[in-house]
Amino acid sequence: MADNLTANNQLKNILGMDRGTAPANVTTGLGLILWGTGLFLSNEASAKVPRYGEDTLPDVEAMGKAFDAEMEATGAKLDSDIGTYGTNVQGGIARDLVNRGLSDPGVSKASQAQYGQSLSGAYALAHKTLALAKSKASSVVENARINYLESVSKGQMDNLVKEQARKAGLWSALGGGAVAGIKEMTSKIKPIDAPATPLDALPDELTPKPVEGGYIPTMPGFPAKRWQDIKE
Amino acid sequence: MANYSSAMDSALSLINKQYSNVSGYYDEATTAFETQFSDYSGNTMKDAINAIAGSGIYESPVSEMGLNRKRASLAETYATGKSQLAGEKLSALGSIDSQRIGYYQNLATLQNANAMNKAASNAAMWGTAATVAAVLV
Repeated sequence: MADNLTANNQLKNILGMDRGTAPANVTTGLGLILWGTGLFLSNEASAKVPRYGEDTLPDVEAMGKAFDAEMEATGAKLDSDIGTYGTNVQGGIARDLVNRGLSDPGVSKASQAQYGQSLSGAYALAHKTLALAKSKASSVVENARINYLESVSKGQMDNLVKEQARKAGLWSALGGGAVAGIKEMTSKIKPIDAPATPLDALPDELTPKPVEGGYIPTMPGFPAKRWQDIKE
Repeated sequence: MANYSSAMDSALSLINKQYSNVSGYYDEATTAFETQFSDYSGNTMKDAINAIAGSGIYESPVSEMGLNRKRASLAETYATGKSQLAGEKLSALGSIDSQRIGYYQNLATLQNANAMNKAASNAAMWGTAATVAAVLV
């Protein structure tokens, strides 16, 4: 007997379409697809969270650089001002000596050299005072920067942990949904090892029954046939 | 989430105004110091020269040693005054920058909370829509 359960009929059997139960499985499949899509889109939506502090970090870094530049500029200005003052005083020394009749170049040179040494001492004292001020000011700014960076690191770590937890929940939910979907579909499948035959579909009163001698009654005028000679 | 933008903008503009004020105060203080020191150094040297003249050594090279000591003292005063002013300016700017960093720290917290709330509401919207669609189907 040829296998009358063709590939098409097998598919219909699996989906239950030959028994009129297709809508439940198809709607189940559609429902799972929509649910999975929603989970995916919700994950995408919740993933659009900016990294903590990403908008403010460039501004804080720029501030740090600007303050360092301000300190450098202030130190350079101080050197320039002291240098200008020293130059003016040494020029005054030369004029003053001339006014007092001390025109000997050696006197002028010695006086200016002596003043130059004392000016170096003034430079050193000024730099010491400024260095102390720079140290205090920069430590205040650095402490604030460190606190900010610590808060950014903690915030980013918190967001990362939440994101991982959400993804873990997402995959477990999808996995659970997939398992539920597969169970739903497989529960409606008819066993394949009991293929249907055309005879199974016939009501009992039409099912041919063996008669005496193995012949099936036929239409008048037609020769009787044996049951065993009937071919598919 | 409440709109925090206008309040934070006001805070930042106030901090920036303080920053520019410090620069203005420093320039005023520097000008005042230069003027006062010029008067002080002029009077000091005049007194020293008068003393030398009174001693009769005004035209002698040895008078330069005494005058140079006065000049060195004035240079030290000038350099110390200038560096103290510069140090005060850096201290004020550092304090204001510290406030500004604190502002950015608060702003980062508010921005993150706002973003998390928006993301959660979007996620809930998609999840609800999908669930409803699945039920209807």
